[in-house]
This record gives sequence, structure tokens and C-alpha cells, in this order.
Amino acid sequence: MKTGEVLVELNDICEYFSVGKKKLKALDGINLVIHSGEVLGIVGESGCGKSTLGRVISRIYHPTKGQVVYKGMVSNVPRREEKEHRLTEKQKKEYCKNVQVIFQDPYSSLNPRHTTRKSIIRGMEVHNLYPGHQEERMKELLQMVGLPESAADRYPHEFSGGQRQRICIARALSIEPELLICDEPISALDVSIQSQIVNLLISLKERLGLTMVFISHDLSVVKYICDRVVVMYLGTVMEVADSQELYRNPLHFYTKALLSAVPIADPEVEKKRHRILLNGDIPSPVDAPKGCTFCSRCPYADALCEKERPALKEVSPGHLVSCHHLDRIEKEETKEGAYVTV
Amino acid sequence: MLRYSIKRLLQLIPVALGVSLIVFTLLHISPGDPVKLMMGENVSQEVLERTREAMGLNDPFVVQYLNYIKDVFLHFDLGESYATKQPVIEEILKCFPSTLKLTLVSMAVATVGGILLGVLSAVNQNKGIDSVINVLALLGISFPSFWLGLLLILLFSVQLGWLPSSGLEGWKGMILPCTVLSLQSIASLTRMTRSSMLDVIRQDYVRTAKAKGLSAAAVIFFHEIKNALIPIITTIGMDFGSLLGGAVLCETIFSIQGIGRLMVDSIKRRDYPVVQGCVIFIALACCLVNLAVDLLYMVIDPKLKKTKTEG
Amino acid sequence: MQKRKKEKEPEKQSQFQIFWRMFRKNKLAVAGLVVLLLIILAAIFADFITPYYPEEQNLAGAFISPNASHWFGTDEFGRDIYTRVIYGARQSLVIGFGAVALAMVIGCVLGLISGYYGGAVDAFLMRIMDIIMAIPSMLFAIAIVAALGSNLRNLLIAIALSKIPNYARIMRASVMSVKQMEYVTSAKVLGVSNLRVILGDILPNSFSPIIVQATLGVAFSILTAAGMSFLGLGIQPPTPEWGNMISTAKNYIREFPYMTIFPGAAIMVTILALNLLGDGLRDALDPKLRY
Repeated sequence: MKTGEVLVELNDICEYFSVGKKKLKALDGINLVIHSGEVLGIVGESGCGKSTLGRVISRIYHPTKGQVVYKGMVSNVPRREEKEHRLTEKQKKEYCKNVQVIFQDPYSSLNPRHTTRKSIIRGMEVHNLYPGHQEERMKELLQMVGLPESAADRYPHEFSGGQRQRICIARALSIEPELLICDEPISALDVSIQSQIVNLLISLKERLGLTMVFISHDLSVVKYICDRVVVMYLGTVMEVADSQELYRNPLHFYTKALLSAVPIADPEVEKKRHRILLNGDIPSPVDAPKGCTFCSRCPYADALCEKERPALKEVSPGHLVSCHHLDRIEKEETKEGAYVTV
Repeated sequence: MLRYSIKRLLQLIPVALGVSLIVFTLLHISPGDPVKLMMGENVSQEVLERTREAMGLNDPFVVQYLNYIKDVFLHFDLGESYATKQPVIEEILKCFPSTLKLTLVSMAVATVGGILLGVLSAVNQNKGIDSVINVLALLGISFPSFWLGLLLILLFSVQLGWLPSSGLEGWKGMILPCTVLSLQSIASLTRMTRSSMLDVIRQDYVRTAKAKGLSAAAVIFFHEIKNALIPIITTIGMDFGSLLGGAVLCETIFSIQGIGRLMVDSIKRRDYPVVQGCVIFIALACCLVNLAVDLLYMVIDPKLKKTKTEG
Repeated sequence: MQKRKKEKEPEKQSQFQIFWRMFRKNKLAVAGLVVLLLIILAAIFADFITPYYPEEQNLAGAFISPNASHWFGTDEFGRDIYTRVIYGARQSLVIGFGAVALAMVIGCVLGLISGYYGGAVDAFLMRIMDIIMAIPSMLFAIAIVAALGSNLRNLLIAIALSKIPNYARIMRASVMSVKQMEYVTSAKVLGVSNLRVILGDILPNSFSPIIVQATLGVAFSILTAAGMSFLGLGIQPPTPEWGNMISTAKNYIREFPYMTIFPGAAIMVTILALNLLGDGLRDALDPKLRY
């Protein structure tokens, strides 16, 4: 597959969980494409559904509504619709091979009773890859993620968090996936280790031509690693743009607020940084607003926002925003000359 | 709270039905012809057949079970004893007071003794008294109660002549049976209380209370025990069942005419309606005690009260 | 202070080695294990370490107090009590371990299914377990023996059935917590089949609490079996069994107390050993003390 072509398509993905009698809308109508060879960042506050989205793409969850299309083939639909789409076990397994996940917590994502060797070789056995050469392949993988060969015979508890995350990466890569979903892969690690893992991921991506989905709440890391960024809020997409464009020219008020919270390394600039403080907390997704999900905290919200959910519109090539009042926000900002400050 | 109680009471119904089904099935498949057992061997074939028909024993299993259930739940009628021809419920009620007295007193002894020893042990962690209590508790859970009973009879009744070796009359008569029955529970409660207390002692809020200058006694009684109580109460509730089971042995050793003894004697006489009745009766008693424990929980732990009442 | 010592030891260890190192520190638990092994060996090699036959009667030599040729004395039929106590271990151990093995296998399978699949299957199975739990296990066992008749096999089945819910519940709880672990999700993402996830990831990591429960369960089963034999509802004489020996002996307790003391002491020593072992296993397997 050539770089830039559509690899994964998400069509109107909804994921509802039942909490008692109520419904928790973790994802509510997500439409996205993932291009081959890109690194797509998904950012948002905790509880906005970004991990759930990763889990729907990787088939850990079935969506409540909508479908995931992989290379033109339907690969994940609500369970009751599987028959309709003639999704066979073989296809599911094939899809598993192509999409792998790295989880947030390296402490619980390795079976404490399996040696590194067993953890890494397991996937190759399942998919019958490298018959007869699995041992060499494992050593190669260990080297690739920067671990010594002696790591093969050790158990997870003998490794540090960063080393474990390297094992997880080796395990995910062992079956040569095309798409690697990194679900907050560094947020459980020490700061000093974080950059090592990020750099490892970048170099592996270059070397293996991977497509990556990078889920994180750390905006600076996302800026550093991602080609394109999706901003999520309460189970919906607020804004999608190329990384450069998004950081230079955020259009949605929520994105502006998020970016204004990122500290800047230069103390002179940092002093002048205006922070947009949003009122209130993120509402519980159990009783999310009916219209625009952001309307309860948006200073520009009016009756229209409460009633009707704005569609994701393309305002410039590749830059999509979902907001009713983009013009008004822009006007007010130029008038006041700055962000609304509290 | 009331709604929750009612809900829990209603949940008892399927459990009671299940228990009765299991017990009824078990005794249904047991060997032996109930009519012969009831009327003796020297009765003509014709009479046997007529009685069988009259008792509904020729009906299909399901019909028999439904009839039994109907009698049990609508009329509290557990059938009639083969041996004495008395209604089973009367036989049970005649024996139940002794068993109840024995178990309740033992439960009280076990609760007070177990919690006291456990607290004493936890407060003096790793000191001499703690080790002594630990060893005693370990011995306590390892002692076969019926053997202990015999040894106590040997010592206090036979050798010293201080206490009666049978019956449950007066406080003197209660000492040996209740000691024997409560020993295991005291021991397991002591261990439970100790570990539960040790967990609580390590918590930050207890340290805060100590730092505020509350006396040791105040900390123990206002903070530690109250919060350590929750797992302890569960253990007590569950122990009630094993106490009733242990009562069977205890009643046999001390010749107490209780429900456990009635059951064992009835098994030997193949008096199945009585056995059936006893098991169902005891199972229901246990369910009610566990329900009471659950409600007690909510009084102690307000956190539970909220979630349970809502959910 | 202990921490430093731990760090000095070589890093490379399997889970079992860590467990063993923790377990070995607990001297009482090791003692329990040794005693238990001795009892098991004695039961296996009973033919070689006893001077008499367990059911050999010698009415002329009845009620002999303990002496050099009859260490524990003789009973009302002149049978050697030492011999009978050693042979009695066979019954107790078979029932104890057999009942627990049976209950554990059935309980674990039910608990696994219940915890892994959840939903209606779980609700159904757990209601059944609730029903069995509602009957005190001793009474349930008595009812089963009453229905099936009293012999070793039925006693074993009865005790096993009454204990299934314990294992099912522990297994279920532990499966439900392991299921949350990301390594289970990772395995599924890798495409590992359900059965393999259960056997390779969930079962081995859910097993610690079951092992502890099983050790204590053996103690409970031996006590229950002895109690039932004592009531005349278990193993019937003349087969030697600790419970039925005490049952007979109680008739002679005033004149010949030694007849009661030795079989009872045998039960106590066995149970004590099992409890010590169980405590040691619990401490060594407790994940809170690990890492």
C-alpha cells in the first residue's frame, strides 16, 4: 500500500456502555480516516473517549453503531451485524495480525508468568509466522527495541517500566502489523524514560514504514511525533488538522483552551502565555449535552449549540472543525485582541 | 433501607425453592420404599399399593415436588414422620429451642471472645501475648470439636465431677457444650479480627488520630474496631451456618435433644420426611441470619447503605 | 533491613523460586509441610511400619493399655490401636485430598466460565452456588450421605459437592480481576484464541488463592469426614478410620481414655500441619508482599 492512501476508515462510530439504567456515550458518531504511513495523534482530556476509540479500531471493543473499514474491507461492526457483513474468523484473525496495540500500563500488560521469549514468540505461533526461525526473529526484535539477548529468559518483574514497554513494543511488532495503536504508551513511565520510548517509536516507524495512532493527553509529545492530530471532547471530534496547522492556527475554542495550557520552554514567552480557563468540569458522559458536547463550557454557546450538534466541516484543506460559531469567535478575538482571560 | 430489606427478603424465595428442590431430589433418589419403611414389612401388597396411591407416591416426580412445595410454603406443612406419625414441623419445633439456645449462646461467646482476643493480639503485635494467642488460635482451629468434647467430659465430668456430662440444663450444663461448639469460631474470629485490625492500624487516618493526641484506648475503640468490624461481621454471619453444622456433633456428644440429633437419628431410622424438613428448616434459618447480617452491615457502613439502597 | 538482603540476591528467578524463597522463611509452614509429608508416607507404607493387621482381632488381648508391644494400646477387640491409627490415615487422606481435588476441578471450571463469560451464564451459575451455600456444608454432606448411603466414595462426593461453591466463587472473583489485566487484552489483540487465553493467561494467574483455599479445604474435609464417621454416617467399622475409632472409644472413655486420645491426636496433628502449611502458602503467595 502506498503512503497517503486511506488505510482505515471510521464511519459514524458510536460506543455506548450501560451504567445501571443509563447509557454512557463513550463515543458518539466518530468519522475519521487514517492514512497509510502517517502518525495520527488523538488528544483530549481523560474520559473523552480517546482510549475507547483505540480499542474500537483494534477490535477489543465492538462498536454499538457504525463500522471500521480496513483497506476497503469491513473489519469491525456491532456484534449482531457480523453475520450480515460475513466477517469470518479467518478475516478477524488476519485483521488482528495487521493491527497491534501498545498499552498504557507496562506493568499489567505482560503476563507475569511468561518469560520475555514466551511473550514475544506467542503471537508468531498464533499466526504461524517464521516457522523454525522464531528464536532468531525474537532476538532480532529484542535488538531492535534495544534490549540485550539475555532479556529473553527473564520474567516481567525483573524489568523496569521502560524495559517492559520495550518488550510490549517487540511483542506488538513480532507479527509485523501495518497499524500500531499506541494507547498512552508513555504516560505511566518516568519522565526521563519517556523520551527514549518516543524516539524508539519514531525510529521504528521510519524503519518499518508503520502507520501509527498515537493516543495521548500530552500535547507537546503529540506535536513532536504526529503528522496529523484529532482533538476529542466527550466522545466527539472537535477538530482535525495537520499537526503544524493545528498548533499554529487552532480554530475550535476548546483546542485553543487546550493549547493555552501547554507550558512553553522559553521563560520570556512563558510569562506572556495567556491561559484560557474553562468554567466547570467536563460533564459526565452519562448525561452529555444533546447538542454540541462542548456547549456547557463554551463562552460562545447559544440556543443553537444546545439544540443541534455541529457537523465536522472542512474549513481549509485538511482542517476540519465542528463548531457553529467559528466566524463569531474569530471576530470577537480580533476585537479583544487576545484570548478571553479570567 | 426498607426497600432494600424487602428486596432481600424476596430474593430468599428462589433460594428456598432451590434448597427444597435439591433436598427433595436427593431423598427421592435414595434407596428404599417409603411406604414399606412407614408401615413395616408385614403388610399385604394390596394395602401397600393403596397407601402409595393415597400418598401420591405414584405421581410423577414434578407433581410430587409441587405438592410438597405447596404444603411447605402455604401451610408450613413439612409432611409426617414415618416413625412417630407426628407432623414433621412439630418434631422440629420441639427440638429447635435447644439448638437455638446452644448456637446463639455459642455465637455470642465466639463473637465476644474472638473480638477481644483478636484486638488484644493486634494491639500487642509481635509481643509475647500476641504469640500466645496466635498459637492458641491455631490449635483452636485444628481441634476436632467432638474429640475436644470427649476430652472435656473426661476431665471435668469424669475426673473432677464439676460439670454434668450431658444435657443443656442450667448454666453449669451449658458450659461444656457451648465451649465445644464455639471453640472453632472463637479461634477463626480471633485470627480474622487480628488481621483485620492490623490492616486498619496501618491506615493513615489511624495515624492521624494518634497524632492528634487521642489516647490509645480511644483510638482503638472509636477508629480501629469500628472499621475493622466489617469483615468480622461477615465471618460471624458465615459462622452461623458452620455452628449449626457443628451443633449436630455437639448435640450427639452431650445427648442434647436438638434438631441436629433429630436429623441424625432420623437418618438412621430412614425417616426421610424429618431429614428433609430439618435441612430445609436449617437452610432457611441460615438465610435469615445472613440477611440480618447484611442489614447490620448497612447500619455500620454508611458507604454501603448508599450504594445498596440505590442499586 | 530485609530489603537490602533481597537486593543482593541474583536477579534472575522464576515465580516459583520467589515463592519458595518466601515460603522457606516461614519455619512453621515448613514444619507443617514436613509433618504432612511424613503422614502421607506413613499412610502409603503402612504395611511396612505397623507390626499388626488393622482388623486382626485378639479378644484375649483386649483393652491393653499402651506398652512396648502395643504403643497406643489395644481396643475392645484386641486390635492394635497404633496400627489402626496409621491405616486410618489412608481413609482421611483419600477423603481429604480426593474431595478437595473433585470440588476444586468442578468449582474452578464453573468459576472460570462464570467469570470469563459473565452475563446470564454467570448469573445462573452463581444463583445455584448461592443455593448450595445456603445449606451449611456439614448438613448438606449429611443429607447427601443419607440419600446415597454411607461409604468412602459417597462421603467423598458429599463433601466435594458441598464445597464446590467456595472454589467457584474464589475462581470467579479472581478471573474477573485478572480479566481486567492488560496482558489478557494484549493476548486477544494478538489473536490468541479464547481457550488459550483462559488456559495460558487467566488460569495460571488466578490460581494462588485457590491453592491456599485448597490446603485449608483438605483440613476441613478431613475434619468433616471424621465428624461424620463419628456420627456413624461415614466410614463404617471395622475399617479403621479416626472418626469411627473415636466413636467406638467414647463408650469406654471412663475406663480406657487412651482409646479416644490417640486417634483424636492423629486428627489434630494432621489438621494442624495443614493449617500451618496453608498459612505459609497464603503469606508466600500474597501478591501484596511481592516486588
